[in-house]
Amino acid sequence: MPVQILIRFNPAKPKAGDDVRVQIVAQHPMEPGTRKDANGKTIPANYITELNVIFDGQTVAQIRPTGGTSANPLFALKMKAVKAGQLKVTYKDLAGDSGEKTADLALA
Amino acid sequence: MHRRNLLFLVVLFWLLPWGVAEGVDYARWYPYDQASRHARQSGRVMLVYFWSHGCVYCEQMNTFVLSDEGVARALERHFVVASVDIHSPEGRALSRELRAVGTPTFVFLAPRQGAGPSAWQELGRLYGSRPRAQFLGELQHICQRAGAEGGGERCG
Amino acid sequence: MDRRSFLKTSAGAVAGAVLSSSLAAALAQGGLEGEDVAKLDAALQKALGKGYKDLEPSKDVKLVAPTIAESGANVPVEIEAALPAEEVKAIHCFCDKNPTPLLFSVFLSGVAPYYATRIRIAETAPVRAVVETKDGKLLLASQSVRVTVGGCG
Repeated sequence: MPVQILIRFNPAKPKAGDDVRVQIVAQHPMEPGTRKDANGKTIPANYITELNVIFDGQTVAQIRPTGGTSANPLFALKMKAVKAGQLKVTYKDLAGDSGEKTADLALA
Repeated sequence: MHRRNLLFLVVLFWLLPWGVAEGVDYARWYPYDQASRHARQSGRVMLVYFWSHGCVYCEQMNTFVLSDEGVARALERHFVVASVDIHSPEGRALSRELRAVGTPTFVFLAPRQGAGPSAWQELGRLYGSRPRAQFLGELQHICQRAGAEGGGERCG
Repeated sequence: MDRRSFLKTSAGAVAGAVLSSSLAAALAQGGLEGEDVAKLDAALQKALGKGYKDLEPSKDVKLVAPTIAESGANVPVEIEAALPAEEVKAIHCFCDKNPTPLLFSVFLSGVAPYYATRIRIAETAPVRAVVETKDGKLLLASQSVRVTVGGCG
């Protein structure tokens, strides 16, 4: 099943030159590989290993989580809103699943 | 050649430790009825683990304590674990019987001669999450108590 | 669900005494509650090829995390470096007592030296924010997070 990714800018429409917080939330269990199920079996590890953030064609952050990042993880960055443009998020997890999501940053 | 294979199997079974020969995987957890049967057959202490969905303290135990290598090894070597959802119909009845009020609760029961309440001797109970090292110490303590009262395998 | 944290009164008294004496010893050495430098050091070597002694505690690294967490499953952390963005290469985060102490690494380029997320913590231990600069310095901020023990019901 594809992983849902939500991207939010705060403020939603920053003024040029202001700081904008980029909040990315992925619906992913981030199984650490150490959790026991109801039968005492260890649930195999499956977490996002790579999440790249690309703004206007330039990679601005390469996030490398481990099983130490919580389920349904939040990834938040801060950047200066210099120009409007497209923000793209790509990810890969241990189970081999991958995908991407985009959002447009508009200036006030 | 079949005879040789058969001989090999016989020798293999003879060499295997009891737990494996019985076909009981002590590394996993069982429903209460099954766990109590395994405990009776093996003479091991049954650890009844009461948990509930959405309880952060059970989650903490499941993710970082019960899965810890040392804890998992101690459980596999010396105990039979009964996994009980306290909100299931069976869990509600068992929690009344064993007076477990919340989760996580760990009740340690040693199989004894007799029927009804005297069939099990309670060796201890723990309520609430705990750090790994503390839980491991508590397991060793219970294991030693069981050894002192009923004889059995060395704890360590 | 009704949740409450508790302190056991019987064994708790003994455990409390042990805890406070070990805590006192740790504080006397300038240590943090739940610290495990040997385990942290091994994780640092594996992730960065550097040890604990190579880290420089720095006021330029701001680590925001709760001092007490009800659940170790979801602990918010925020890390920010008071340095020009172009001087920062990466932000790493560790927790001494986790089975895998490395929680994440974030390599930044063209954004502020800032990262926020939510982490899992195995038990009471320090969280370590390590800011790697482009000239190879590893700047450190540490803070212990106490994971509440308790039960539900």
